[in-house]
Amino acid sequence: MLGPAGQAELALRVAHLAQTRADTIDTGAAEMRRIERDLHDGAQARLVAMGMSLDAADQMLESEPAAARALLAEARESSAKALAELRALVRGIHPPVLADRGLAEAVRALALDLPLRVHFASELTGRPPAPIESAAYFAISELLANVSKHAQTRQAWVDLRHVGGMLRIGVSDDGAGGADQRRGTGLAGIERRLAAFDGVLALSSPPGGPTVVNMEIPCALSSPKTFSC
Amino acid sequence: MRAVIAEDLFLLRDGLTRLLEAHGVQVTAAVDNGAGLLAAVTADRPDVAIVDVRLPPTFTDEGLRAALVARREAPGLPVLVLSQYVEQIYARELLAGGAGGIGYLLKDRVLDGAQFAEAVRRVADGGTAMDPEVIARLVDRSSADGALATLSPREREVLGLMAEGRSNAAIAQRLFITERAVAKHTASIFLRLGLQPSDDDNRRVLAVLAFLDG
Repeated sequence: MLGPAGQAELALRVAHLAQTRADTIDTGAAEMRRIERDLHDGAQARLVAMGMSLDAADQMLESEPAAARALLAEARESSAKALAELRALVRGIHPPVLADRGLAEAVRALALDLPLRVHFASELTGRPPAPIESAAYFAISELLANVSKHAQTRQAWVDLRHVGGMLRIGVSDDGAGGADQRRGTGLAGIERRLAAFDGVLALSSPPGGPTVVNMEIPCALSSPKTFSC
Repeated sequence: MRAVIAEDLFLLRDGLTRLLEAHGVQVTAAVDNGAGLLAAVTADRPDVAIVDVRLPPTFTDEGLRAALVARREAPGLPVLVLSQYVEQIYARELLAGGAGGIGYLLKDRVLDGAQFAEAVRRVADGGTAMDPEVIARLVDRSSADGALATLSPREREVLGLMAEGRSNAAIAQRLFITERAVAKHTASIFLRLGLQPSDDDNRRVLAVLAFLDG
């Protein structure tokens, strides 16, 4: 049986779980709404426009071939735009390189797209569970975006390791510092998302820098994936 | 010209086959997985292999890996990799050998059949076809650094088209200027970026890509 101290601890744990579960559901629901809206206003609308252009082109094919041709070009343009929008949307849901190769390669690919020199080191020997990989990826992505937007520097450091049953992620920069967990929703949002996995975030960002963010998420790694070629 | 296609979605495999045949390319095999690609490449010795990045059984980057293996087994085999998205990290892997005959394009590019067929031919001839989106991202990333900022907007445009692997003639046609004007722009670009000029289209592409990759 649990003593009073154990019971108090358990009560705290239950309260924490209830809170993080509610946050997770809210975040998930908000994400679904955003995706629905993006599809509705983006790709869906483009496909409707494309269908209409094709129909109009069909009707003019014999009487006004030049106009029909213009409409066909318009339809092709709509399909290209719909594809571009879907691609951006997919990237926001689950980046392709993350799906293909896991966290370390996805962070490497992310770094290639940023106007920052990212010094990256990974000591991961396997892959964390997919949901944790995804949460970690988006946390790093958001932190690096913050660096390029606010830190007034062109360099950042990211390192990934797995120590003592914890995925440890460090993101730092030599910029202006002064980042505040309570200001802006970025860091608080990352904390909330990590909390769903019992993960934590620690920030040190004195005025004048440097800014160091350390994150820890308890998890096991799957054995390294082996490829046939 | 003879091509082998590896694409797991029937609609796209069928569409690609028809598109290529309409542009005078003979499709000797259209398969839906990496092993099939290797078999077809060995059996048919095509002029070019066109490969989707995602293939069964893992549906990750199986196609990219199969393409790289095919190139090892049939040295010099021109390979055009198609994908729903383009990633610089994959572009680097494809270009890492330093040899020509590499293409990496978004699937969207098949919407313009003539341009796509032109890219297939370019790759089959040992040239390069990099997707404009890969190049745009490289240029965006590099443009904050010194040398690129000294280029005029027109020179940047020419640089982008060069990096995609287009010849002077193709760039001239695209920008509605003369080949002589293109040559003047490329000479100025190479001078400003401190690159060794080259008449060989492919060596030129690789030099530009290496520069952009920093």
